[in-house]
Amino acid sequence: MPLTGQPRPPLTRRQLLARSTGLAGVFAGAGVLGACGSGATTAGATAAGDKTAGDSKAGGSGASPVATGAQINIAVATSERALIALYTATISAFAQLAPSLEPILRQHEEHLAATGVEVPDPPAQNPPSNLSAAIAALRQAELTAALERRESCLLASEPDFVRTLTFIAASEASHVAALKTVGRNQ
Amino acid sequence: MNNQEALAAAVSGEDAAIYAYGVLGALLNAGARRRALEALRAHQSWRDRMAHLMPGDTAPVPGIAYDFPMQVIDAGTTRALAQLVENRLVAVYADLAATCEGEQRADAVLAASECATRAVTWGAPSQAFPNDASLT
Repeated sequence: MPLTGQPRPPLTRRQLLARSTGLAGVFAGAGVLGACGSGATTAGATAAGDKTAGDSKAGGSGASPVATGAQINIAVATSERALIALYTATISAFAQLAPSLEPILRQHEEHLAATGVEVPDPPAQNPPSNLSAAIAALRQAELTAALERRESCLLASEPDFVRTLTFIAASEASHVAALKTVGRNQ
Repeated sequence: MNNQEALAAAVSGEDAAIYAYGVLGALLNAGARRRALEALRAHQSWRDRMAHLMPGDTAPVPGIAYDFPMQVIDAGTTRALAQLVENRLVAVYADLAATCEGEQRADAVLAASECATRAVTWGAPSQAFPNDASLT
């Protein structure tokens, strides 16, 4: 019996962020797993929340410092703006990289939109003049961003906000891998 | 979803991933097979770590077998299966991160990041919010 069942319509970003897949989902063939029920779906996850500081939840260990959602959002938005500026400048300098880099640029724009906050324009970005060095600079920027997002996850308190930040951290970590193949044939 | 439910989902997800990599590893050659084995070991490690966080013997037991959403018959379909498994686990670990804090949350975020990275390594396009919607 196939796992996937009914074809699904594409999910909106909001639905994706709100979705809570229990792992029946990895392979939920009838009579072969049944180990875990599908999780409840929580509503309304955006990165705009996290107003409460200092509450504790089940699980985990140790006390973490907790920043407000607003502080974290501004930090994430500022970082995303800088990444967007770097990608834009790199695409401008190396037009041949546009097909590879524009999808990633759009993903950073989605991350920025998820914060729901406005931040000032970052300083002008000047990518290295050498193509491979420019790609290396992007990879380093993504690596730094992924680490920063992981730190932000630990500071956040509102569950849906934590979920959103986890997705963003994972996305940026995956960009590091995606950039490995960029520019190989240039 | 509470923390124990999220942990159980992570354990079950890792069990499914371990099974999948066992199957697809046999269908791959050379470098791809080595990468599959590395992924298998990573998933085994995360499975054990998540199960250890559950009290007593409450961790879900692995299934004997799992159905795949597509026929896995060649290099292309094995890669598609690996992408699917990894991207689905990102959401599972994001759910877990939302139910815990401290070291456990750090682990969940790291695991989600590793899964999203492996999905891309297997050829999936990167995504702003990694999920399996485009792969099934």
